[in-house]
Amino acid sequence: MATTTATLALSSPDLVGDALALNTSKACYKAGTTIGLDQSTGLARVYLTATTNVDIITVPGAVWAGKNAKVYIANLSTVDSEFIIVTKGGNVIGRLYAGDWMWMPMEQKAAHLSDVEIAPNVASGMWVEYMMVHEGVVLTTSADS
Amino acid sequence: MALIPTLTIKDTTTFSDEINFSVTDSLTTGTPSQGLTKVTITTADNQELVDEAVSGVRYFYAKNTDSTNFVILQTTGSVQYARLSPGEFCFFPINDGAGLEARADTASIILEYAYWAKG
Repeated sequence: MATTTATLALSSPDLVGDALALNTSKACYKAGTTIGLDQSTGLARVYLTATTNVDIITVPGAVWAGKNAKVYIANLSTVDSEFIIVTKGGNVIGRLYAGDWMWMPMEQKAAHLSDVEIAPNVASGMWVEYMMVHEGVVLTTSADS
Repeated sequence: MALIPTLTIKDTTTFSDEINFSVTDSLTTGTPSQGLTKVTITTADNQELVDEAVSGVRYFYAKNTDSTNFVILQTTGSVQYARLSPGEFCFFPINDGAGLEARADTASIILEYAYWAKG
C-alpha cells in the first residue's frame, strides 16, 4: 500500500528559556481514510526568469473537491533578499525566502480557484522545487491547436 | 534567535524508486512569537490565529490533534485554502496582510500551533 510519510522537526536552543525540540510524523492518507495517498507529481524543479505569477499546480476542474493532497515547495535561491510569493487561487499564502520551504495540505475546491501559484520577486533567475502527493487529479483536456 | 525546521519525506512503496529526502533551514526569528499553544477550534467562523493587520512574515506551524475530524485553514477573509486531516501537520510562511483563521468542519478539534516572526 502506498504510504508517504512526512516528518517535521522544529528545534531552537534560544527562542525562549525552554529549548524547542519538536518532532512529529504522519502518514499521508486519502481524505477520511487510512489509505495512503497513491499519486504524485514527483519532485519537480523549475527555473523562473520572470516575476510573473505562474501556476505550478493547476486545478482545471472541480472534481478534486474533498480529496486530500499535500504540497511541498522550496525556494532554492541562496540570495537572502530573493523570495517567491505563494498564492492559492489568487489568495496570498506567504513568502518563501531563499532556502525556505513549506509543507501544507491543499484543498481542492474549485477550478482554478485552487491553483497553487508562485511569483519570484526578481527576474534574474530562481530555482524552485516542488512536489504534490495526492489522491487524484483532473488532467487538462488536450488541445492541439 | 534561530529556528531550525527540517522536513523529511519518505515513501518506499508508491513508486518504483524510493522517495527519501530532507530539507532544512535556519530561520532568523524576531518578535512577536506565539509559542506552542493548544486551542479548541469550533465550527464557528472567524477564529483568528494570525492577524492580517500585523506586518511581517510569520512562520506558522499547526497540527490537528483530533483523531477523527479535519480542520479548515483559511484567510482572515474566510477564503479556505487547506484542510488539515486528523493527526496531520503543516509548516508554512504567512505573509503580512494575509492572516490565518481556523475552523472545524464537523465537530470541535484541538489544534496545536505556534508561529514566529521573521527576524
